[in-house]
Amino acid sequence: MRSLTSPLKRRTLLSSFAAAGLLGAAAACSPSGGGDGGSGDGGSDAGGSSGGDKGTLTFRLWDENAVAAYEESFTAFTESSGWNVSIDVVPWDDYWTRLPLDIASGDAADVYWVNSANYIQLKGSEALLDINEIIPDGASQWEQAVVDLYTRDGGLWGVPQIWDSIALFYNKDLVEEAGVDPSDLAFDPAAETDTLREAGSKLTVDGEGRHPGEDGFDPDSRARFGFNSQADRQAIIGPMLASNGAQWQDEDVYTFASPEGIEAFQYMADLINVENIAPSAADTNENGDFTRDLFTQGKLGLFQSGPYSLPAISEGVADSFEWALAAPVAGPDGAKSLVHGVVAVGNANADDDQQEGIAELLTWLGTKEGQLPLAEQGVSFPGHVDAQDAYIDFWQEKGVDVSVFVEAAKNPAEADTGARANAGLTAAMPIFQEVFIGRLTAEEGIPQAQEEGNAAMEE
Amino acid sequence: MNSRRPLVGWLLIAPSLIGVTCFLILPVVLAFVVSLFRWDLYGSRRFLGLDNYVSLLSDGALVNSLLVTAIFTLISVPVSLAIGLVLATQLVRALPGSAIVRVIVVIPWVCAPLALGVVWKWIFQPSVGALNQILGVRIEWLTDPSLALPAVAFVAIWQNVGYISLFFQAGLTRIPGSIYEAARIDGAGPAQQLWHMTIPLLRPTTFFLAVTQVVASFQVFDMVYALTGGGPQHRTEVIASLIYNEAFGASRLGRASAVAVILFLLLVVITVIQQRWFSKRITYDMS
Repeated sequence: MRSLTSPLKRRTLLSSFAAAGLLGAAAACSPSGGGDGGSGDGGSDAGGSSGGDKGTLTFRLWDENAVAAYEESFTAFTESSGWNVSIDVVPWDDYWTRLPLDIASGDAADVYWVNSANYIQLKGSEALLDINEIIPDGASQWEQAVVDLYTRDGGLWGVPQIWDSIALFYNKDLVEEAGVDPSDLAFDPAAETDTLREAGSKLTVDGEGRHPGEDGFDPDSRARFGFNSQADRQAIIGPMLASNGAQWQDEDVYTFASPEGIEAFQYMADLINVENIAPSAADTNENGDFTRDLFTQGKLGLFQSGPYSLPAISEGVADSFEWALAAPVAGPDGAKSLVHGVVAVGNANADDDQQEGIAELLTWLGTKEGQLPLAEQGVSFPGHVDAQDAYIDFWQEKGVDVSVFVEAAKNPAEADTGARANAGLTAAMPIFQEVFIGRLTAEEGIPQAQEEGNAAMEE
Repeated sequence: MNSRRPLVGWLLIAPSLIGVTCFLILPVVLAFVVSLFRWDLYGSRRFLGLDNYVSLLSDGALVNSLLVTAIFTLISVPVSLAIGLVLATQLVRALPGSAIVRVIVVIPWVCAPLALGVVWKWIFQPSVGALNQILGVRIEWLTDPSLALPAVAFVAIWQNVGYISLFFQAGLTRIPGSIYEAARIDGAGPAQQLWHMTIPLLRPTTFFLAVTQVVASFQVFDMVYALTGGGPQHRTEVIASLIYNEAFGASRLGRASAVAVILFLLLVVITVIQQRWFSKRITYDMS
């Protein structure tokens, strides 16, 4: 038991006030700032499990689509352990704003989702439990690429829950009509042309049915596009940079402004502004889902993305056309796929009487049984290797072969990592967007993005 | 009996005093304290003294956001006041349909700015947005650095005009009709009446609206957040956006707090200047 006057409580109290003061200055002092920007109480209580007699643990995540699967999982957990679990959903847009505030005020959930760009900062502040100490034999059962992402300084800082890699969604009708083979697409910035540019040109048409390069082609009246080149770190920038032989970062320092990196960025921008086979960055910079929506409307032939797009595309397309998946577009260094993993982390600063339950919950979340609902309900690839077939089966029943994502994950590009990876990418991304929109050349913008990104990473 | 009066007084003001202390004074003081530290909210704090202020003044981010906020204020406040006044002069004439128009123009003001921002973002979309579809053009309203701030200011004006016209309508109804009647007999036209009578007689209302609108403009956040997030090229990064981006984008709570303290001081100065400027002007007793 800690007394109310202990230094920790005083610090927590002061932190809470300071955080409240800052938030007040940032948003609530607006004349109508009544908290309409998010969930004022820290998110929505999305349900969970009950009937246990040991107490209640809290679990936070950002994906509403995963709630039903976790409810099923936690019902079994409660029956076996006696611990109830309350699920709290905080939408992605608010997640990384609320998390530091809740940690500072001592209100963080007992177990919560974290991604690779943010965990190192949490680990550095000793907010996380080392999974190797709780589940010593766990790492061998989980997707290796995700385990690698969350291994640092000899510890493993989360239990892999879901992961995704990148592949190429294609509209079967459009590629057949255009005579494009989606399994054989490659790019080469140094070449005069390549199969990606050729395929993109064949697939892109303006209002009069003309293709890019043809006389009278009007890019402003394009009715259909070829490929989704856009400022998307995970689906486009990461894979294409790595495929062109560029390194994203070295330890905690960005190195993407290499000749290969600049060349790849210029190539991606040229697909939009010179080749006219990708939608304008004026649309995609502001709305990252713009191209996904074009694909579901049958207005985009090739859409490089991850399993996170499967539900929206499956529902959006329905029976309007046939679509399938192929390996991501290859570059001079082959086809690379950026692997992202989400883990469940244990709150090291939770009350002592919760720690036993936290360890039990983390252990459960690392088992095949604990993760099967995530796979069976089609949320994403589960972290436990033995549960992955259930996810493949889920999509197989819908006529989609998602095993290409598993293959793609075997050749991963570098994911963002570092104590301030989030701050670094936040600083660099607006400059990437300027390159994609064509206001800066890659030669001008990418070294600047690297410099500003590294400055933000350093602090 | 007298000795009990101070106690009763303190008890009566206690609820307000506690509220003001906890939710206004204490956060302001703590924001200043935090501004002296490097802190990412996750880990321990490190005392920096005034380094956050020095770095803010030297790296251009603060100057840029002050400039953006000033331009936003200079566009949105005078235009909102002018349109609001013209609108009010027409609405108080009780023309057919005035009651419906009065309700319609106030609706944007009662809506959440964040929601309005999302709706306007759709409207402004270059390829599929309603505005470009109607105009038959392809203008990048929110991603063109030269258009983004005027576009944001336009939405702010659109939202506030109804609210401003409400106050002007209230002010106009307090002006006796006999004054206008006398002016008309003396040969004053509508423009002369507006310039020499209506505007001077509305000075207290104008003062109130000018102060609150300037303060609101310097605090604007949610609409900018929804529309542009401060981009492109920081061209719409108003001060509150800078605070947010420093705190939650760059995880620099100390610098964010330093900006918040500077914003607080700036608003105090602006309000004092406005008060002095208006207090020197004549106000009319219309009783």
